[in-house]
Amino acid sequence: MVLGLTNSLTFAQQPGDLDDGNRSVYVHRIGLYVADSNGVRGTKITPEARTQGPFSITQSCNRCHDVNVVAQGTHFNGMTGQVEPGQNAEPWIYADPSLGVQIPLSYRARPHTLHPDQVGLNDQAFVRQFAHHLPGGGPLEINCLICHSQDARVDPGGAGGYGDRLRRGQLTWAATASSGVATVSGGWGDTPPWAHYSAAGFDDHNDLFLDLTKHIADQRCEYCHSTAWINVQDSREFRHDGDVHQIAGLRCVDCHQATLDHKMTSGALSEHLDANSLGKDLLTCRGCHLGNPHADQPTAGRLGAPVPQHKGIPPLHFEKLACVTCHSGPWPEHSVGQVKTSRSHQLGTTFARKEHQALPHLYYPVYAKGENQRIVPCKMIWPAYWGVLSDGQVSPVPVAQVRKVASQIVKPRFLSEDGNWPALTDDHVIDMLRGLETLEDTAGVPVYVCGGLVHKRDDKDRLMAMKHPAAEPCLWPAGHAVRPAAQALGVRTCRDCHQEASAFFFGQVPVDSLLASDQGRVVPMIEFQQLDPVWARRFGRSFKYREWLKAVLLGAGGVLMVTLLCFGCRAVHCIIRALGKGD
Amino acid sequence: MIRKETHTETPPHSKRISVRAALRRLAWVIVFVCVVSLAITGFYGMPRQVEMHGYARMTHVTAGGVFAVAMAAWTLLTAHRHRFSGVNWRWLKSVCEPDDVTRPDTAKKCCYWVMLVSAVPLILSVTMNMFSWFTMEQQICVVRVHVWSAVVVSSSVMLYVLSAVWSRCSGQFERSNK
Repeated sequence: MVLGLTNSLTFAQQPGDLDDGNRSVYVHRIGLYVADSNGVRGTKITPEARTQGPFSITQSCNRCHDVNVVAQGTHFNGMTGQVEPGQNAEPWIYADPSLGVQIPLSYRARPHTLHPDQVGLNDQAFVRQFAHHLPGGGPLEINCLICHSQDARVDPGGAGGYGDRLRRGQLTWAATASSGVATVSGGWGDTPPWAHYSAAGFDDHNDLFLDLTKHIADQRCEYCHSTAWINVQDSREFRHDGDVHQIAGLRCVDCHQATLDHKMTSGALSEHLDANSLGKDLLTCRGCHLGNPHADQPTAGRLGAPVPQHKGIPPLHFEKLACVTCHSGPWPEHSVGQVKTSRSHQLGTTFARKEHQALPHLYYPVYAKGENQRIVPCKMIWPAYWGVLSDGQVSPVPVAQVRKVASQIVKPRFLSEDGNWPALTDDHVIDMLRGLETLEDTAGVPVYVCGGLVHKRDDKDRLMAMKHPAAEPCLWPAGHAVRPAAQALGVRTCRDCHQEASAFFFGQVPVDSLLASDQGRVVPMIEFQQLDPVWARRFGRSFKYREWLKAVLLGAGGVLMVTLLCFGCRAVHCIIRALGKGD
Repeated sequence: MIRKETHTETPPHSKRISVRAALRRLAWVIVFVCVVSLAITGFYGMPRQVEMHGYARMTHVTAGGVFAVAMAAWTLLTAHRHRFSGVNWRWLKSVCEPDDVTRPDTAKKCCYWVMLVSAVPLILSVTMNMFSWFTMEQQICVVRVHVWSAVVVSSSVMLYVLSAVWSRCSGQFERSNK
C-alpha cells in the first residue's frame, strides 16, 4: 500500500504520466541527454559534434515520465529478484548443441525452470546471452524506443543493431545504435564505438522529433513474440492466417494493456476471476465476448467481439477447458508438431536459427492441465542439462564448467550443421559424467538430465535412467493465434475430440533427447492432462454410438408421448362423459 | 413389486407365467435398476456441487439409454393395467372415507402416471441437448429441466414401489380377514 501511494505520488510529479484524456498522439520533440559516469543527466546531444557518446533513455525520458516506475514493468523486472512468478509464460532457453543442453531459465521461479544463477549466468552474462530480445532490465537500461517508436529505422535485430551491440557487451550503446536517429560506428575489436547524430532531425533548440506512440504496432510485439511453425504439411504463409483478432483490426495492446507501471495484462482467466484486477477482467476472452453477467450495465461485445452461442457444446466444457483450447493454435494432430519462437531461436535477427532442427526443440500444441485446473494448449520443452544428484536433488552444473569437460569429449565432427543434437553415444555421455566427477566443486553424483529422465552411471559403468521431477518437461500456455469460430475444435461434431484415438487426448508428444535410446519414444498427451487414459478411450469409443443413442432416446420418448396422448385423450373423454352424466 | 395376479387375470390354479408377464417383470426390473443407478450417479455430486464426470458420467449415459428403452417397453406393456377405473374414481370422490383396499391401488396408478409424464421431459431434455440447437444458457435451463424431472421420476418410482408393497400387504390382510 505504501509502495502504491509512493508510486501514485511519483506519477503526479511527472507531467507525461498524467493522462489528459486526449486520444491523439502527443508529439515528442525532446532533447537527448547522455548519462554521466554517476548515471545522472549529463550534456545534451547536439548534432554538430562528429563523435559523440550514446544518449541515455532514462535521462532523456525521465523529464516527463517516471522511468523507474516503468522499469518495474513485466518486461523489465525479472532481474530485480523480488518479482512474483505470475502467469506461467515462455522461459528464456539456453541452448548449446556443443554441450547437449537446452535449459529453460526464468528469474520468476516458474515450474520446471532454473534460475540463471544456477547455471552460472550472472545478470551481465544473461543480458549478453539473450540480448537479441531483451528490452531492458537489470544492468541493461530499459529501451522505450524498441516498443514505442514508430520510426521504421528502429533496428532491434539487424547487424549492428540493438541485439548485436548487446552481444558485444556494449550495453549503453545498444539503444542509440538501434534508435534510427544516430549512426553508431566502431565497437569492433579494440575500436571504441562512437555515434554520429544526423542534423536533419534536430530543431534550433537541439531537440529531436521522435515518432513515439502508446498505441504500439503489432510488429513491435511480434519481434519478441513470434512463433514459427515447422514440420507442418504446408508452411506457406498464406495458409496460416494469423490471429483472427489481428485480421479483425485489433492490435496486441488492445488486450495486453498496461498503465504506467507496464505490468501487462496476460488475458489469463485468473485475471478475469480476480476481483482485485481493477478492470483487467475486461481484457480477457470472457471480458469481451461474454461480459460480466453481474455488472450493472451490459459489458459483452467490447471491441466488436461477437457473443458466442456455443450451441450444442455441453456447459461442462467451459469448466474443464480454457477458451483458447478450442480456439487457438494449430488443429491437434496425432504427432505433435514443432515450433520455433523469436526468443528461443533468435528469430528476426541476423543470427536467427533458420534450420528446422536447430535447438531448442519446442513442441506445440500440447494440451495440458494448466491454471485453474483447465486444459490449455501449451508449448513444451524437455530440459536437457548436466547436473549433480545430491540428497535426492538435482543441481545443474554451471555451463562454463560443463564446457571445460565437453571441450575434451565433444569433438567438432560430432556437431550437426543444422544445430541439432550432437551425435553422441552413451559412451560419450558416460565420459562426460566421468569428466564432471573430476571437477573440484562437484559434490554428488554427476547426472545428465534429458528426455524426461535423469541419467547416471551405474556400478557397471553403464548409463542408468531414472525418473525425477527435475527432468519433467517445462510447459507454458500459448493463447495465440486464435482461430475463427468456424475452425474451433468441436465445430463439426463431438468426435473432433471424443474418439478412441483422438489427437486431443492421445496425440503423441515426442520425447526429445540426444540419446539413441530415447529416439522414437513418445508420450501420449493425456499424461499431461492428468486424466485416466483407459476412461478417455472408452469414453471416446462411446461416441461411435452417439447417433444410435439419440435415435433410441427419441424413439423411447416418442413412445411415451404417444402413450400419454392416447390415455390422456381417453381420460379427457371419460371426464367429459362423467361430467355430462350429472346433467 | 408385481402383484400376484390371483384374482384378476391369471387363474389361481395356474403356476405358469405368460411371456407377456415375464417381459413386463423384466422391463420393470430393468427400469428400477436403471433408475437407482441413474439416481446414484446423477445426484451423488449435487450436494457438493461437483459436476458428474468420468466413469460416473459414462455409467449415467449408458444406463440412461437402457432406461429409456425399458421404460418405453414397460409403458406399452402396463399402461392399460394402470388406467384409472370406476373404483379409483369412487375412491377419489370419497377421500374422506378411506377404503384400505382401493387406496393403495389408486396411489400406485397415480405414481405410475406421474412417472410417465415426468419421464418424457427427462428423456427428451437430455436428447435435445445432444443436438446443436441450444446455446449455453439454454442448455443450462434444459439441464435444470432434466434434473427436476429426474427428481420427480425417482420419487415416483420409489412411491410406486411403496404403494405396490402396500397394495400387496393390503390384499393379504384383506384375504386373511376373509
